[in-house]
Amino acid sequence: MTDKKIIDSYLEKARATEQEIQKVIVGQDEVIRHVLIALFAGGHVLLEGVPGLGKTMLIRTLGQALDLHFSRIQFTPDLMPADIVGTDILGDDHGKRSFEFQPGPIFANLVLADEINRAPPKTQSALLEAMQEHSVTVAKKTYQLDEPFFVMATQNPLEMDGTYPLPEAQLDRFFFKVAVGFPSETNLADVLKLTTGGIMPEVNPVATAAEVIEMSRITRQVALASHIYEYVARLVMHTHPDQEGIPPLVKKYVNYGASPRAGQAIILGAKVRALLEGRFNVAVEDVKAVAPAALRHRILLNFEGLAEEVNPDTIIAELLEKTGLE
Amino acid sequence: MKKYRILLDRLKIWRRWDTLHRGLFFGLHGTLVGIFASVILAFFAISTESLQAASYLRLLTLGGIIGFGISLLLLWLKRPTLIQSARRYEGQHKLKERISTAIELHAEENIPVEWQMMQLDDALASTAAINPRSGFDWRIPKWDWGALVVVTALAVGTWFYGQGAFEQAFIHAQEQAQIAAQVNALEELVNEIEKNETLSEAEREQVIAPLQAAVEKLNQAESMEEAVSILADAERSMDALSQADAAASQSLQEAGQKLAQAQAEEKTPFGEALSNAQFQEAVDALKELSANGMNEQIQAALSEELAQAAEAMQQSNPEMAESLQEAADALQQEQMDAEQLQQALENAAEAMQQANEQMEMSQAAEQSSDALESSRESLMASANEGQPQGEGQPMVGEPQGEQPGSGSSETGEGAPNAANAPERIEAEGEKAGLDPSGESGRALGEIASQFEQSGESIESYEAFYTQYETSAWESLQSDAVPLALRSVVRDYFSSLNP
Repeated sequence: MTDKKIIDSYLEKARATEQEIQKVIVGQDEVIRHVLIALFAGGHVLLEGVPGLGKTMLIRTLGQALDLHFSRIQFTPDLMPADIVGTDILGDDHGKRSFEFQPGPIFANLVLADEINRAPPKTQSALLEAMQEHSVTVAKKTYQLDEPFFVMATQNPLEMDGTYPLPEAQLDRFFFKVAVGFPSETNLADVLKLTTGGIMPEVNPVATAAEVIEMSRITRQVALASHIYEYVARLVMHTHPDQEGIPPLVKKYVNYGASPRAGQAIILGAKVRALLEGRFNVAVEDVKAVAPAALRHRILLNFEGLAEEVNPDTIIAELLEKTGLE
Repeated sequence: MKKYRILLDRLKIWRRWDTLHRGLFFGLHGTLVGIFASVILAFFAISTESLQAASYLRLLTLGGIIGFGISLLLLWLKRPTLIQSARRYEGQHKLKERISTAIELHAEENIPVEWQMMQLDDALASTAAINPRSGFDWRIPKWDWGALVVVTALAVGTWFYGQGAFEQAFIHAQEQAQIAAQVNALEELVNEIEKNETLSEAEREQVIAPLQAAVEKLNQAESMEEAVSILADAERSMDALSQADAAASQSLQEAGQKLAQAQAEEKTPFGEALSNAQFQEAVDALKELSANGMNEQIQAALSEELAQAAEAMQQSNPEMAESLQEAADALQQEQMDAEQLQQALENAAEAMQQANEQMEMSQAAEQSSDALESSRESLMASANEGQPQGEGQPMVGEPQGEQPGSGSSETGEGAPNAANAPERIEAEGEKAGLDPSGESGRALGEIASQFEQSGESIESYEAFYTQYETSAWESLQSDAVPLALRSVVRDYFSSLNP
């Protein structure tokens, strides 16, 4: 099959997946688009929003639409790392006792880490190796996770009681952080109508794991003009307060800027978006569309920014406005 | 490859329109900057009264053209590359980086051909319906309009502001042209003198030196009166030089006249040449004479001619008269040996040779003096022509109707230079048209004459003139004299220059 046909199939399946999810999740089209972009780019997503906005439902529906092995981990304060990655247990094989590895819920294609910031950092960090290396190590033995492997985590806003902020290293491993906002009145009415009726829409699988892997491969073929690379690099550099020519808000409120992973996320995300828009090349508008999701969890505010409750999205908006193509 | 060529062709067509568009607006900016710079330059030039009206217009035009040219040159130097043009093209028509990506992919070797072609097809499809001329805004932006209005206002304002200075600059330029013409005339005179072979090297130097000094000074002269003064100085030097050698000239001419009036039956070649005022031929004839080959008849005739010449120049040139008389005496002595006779003749010839050379130099100096006088008068005449007569600016010395203190000129029609010429003021009994005392009726010349007659001592005219000229110059330099009257003051003192 030629790449052109693969791309056509890609587009068809991506749009079908989007439509399947939209059957269940109403009024969150931008969130769905960002989740799919991260998925096809091979990245993990952190969904943030107050409880009850359908975050968990979105991930579960995604699992159904893509026909992936789905598992859910409910993060709680007493959750232990072994509860996530699995553990060796003593087994009896015809009278011969030996330790056998019992895989945890991380061994799935699509892992929903629900309310990830409810668990203490030690447990949160159990995901680190899995998210970066797609493998887990238990009792000095490393186990490879099945591909594709995606972690879709949800978290409540940090100011809520009983939450533990994710460490920076872990945050950086999330491809996107997608803010799930409150739906509009019309959308909320549709949600109420949908969720309180007798018939729940049926979600059909439209793509397989192999197709998702192929879609990830084809995504990387999308071309970028050199000035787009330069633009993305400039965007990332301008999130650092010690750089020259940065926006005033960055200088005032940012403590640490985005890592190179942010640039990778922006470019890969822009590539997926370009394909979804029917193009074979990345445009500036693709970069601008995915940059907030790739940057907002990687910009660490200073004390002044935290004290004034500055929204990173405000800083990113100014960054995008003031950083131009050269 | 063909598709890529089509894409480039489309881009090239758009680039032409883009270049035209940018050239027009960039050129407009350059023209405005050029005109603005010209106005600033003109402003400084006006403040020094060194710019004429026509030059101001030329300066503005030139500034605009240079500004336009420089802007186009800069535009050419900063012409965009193919990729930069592609980015501008896709930016203008919202092509979402399709063109620049396609061009870059075409040059990449690691990109699969299939992806290159897909991108190329996409780029071609997106540009297919685009009219390359569309998307350009040909209207002049309001900021450019503002700049245009400001620069135009500045140019027009400077035009009106500089009218007085333009006129002064015009007059000054005319003066400089007149001075330059006289410089050329003097240089031609110097060339002629340099070619004059009848003068020795030293004599040529003697005559040329004052002329060259005058030329150098004239080249630096700032005003007509200064030029007239320089010429007058040079003229005086030439007169002095001419008069210094006038005695020799006079003696030869007197000798020639004497011989021409003589009733001699037969003249020797010497006598013939001398009586015809062909002095060099006379000298040559004298030199060619040989004491041995001379018969008595010629000897007697020559003796008589030499004696007559000696007698004629006895008063004007005793030394030469003595030499000639000695030669005449030698010719009359029967016992004189040939060698002594020959020596006497050579001495006479040598004396005549010197006198002849002095006469040539005197003539050259006189000729130069005449040329200098002609130049000076020409400059003075030009200065008078440039007077703003008939514009309510009466000349100093010009008849002014019934105003008290106005002098009376002979013509009564205002010829200040003629009336106030130094030679006239010093001339006894003549009337001059200037009476600084404010009283009417008497002219300076008469006053001077009275003083001289009464035996009272008075300072020389030159001394007075120098004081007044210095004072006038200081006034002119300090702006104490109104601009419109400066030429009047200058001309007045120029006419008084001794």
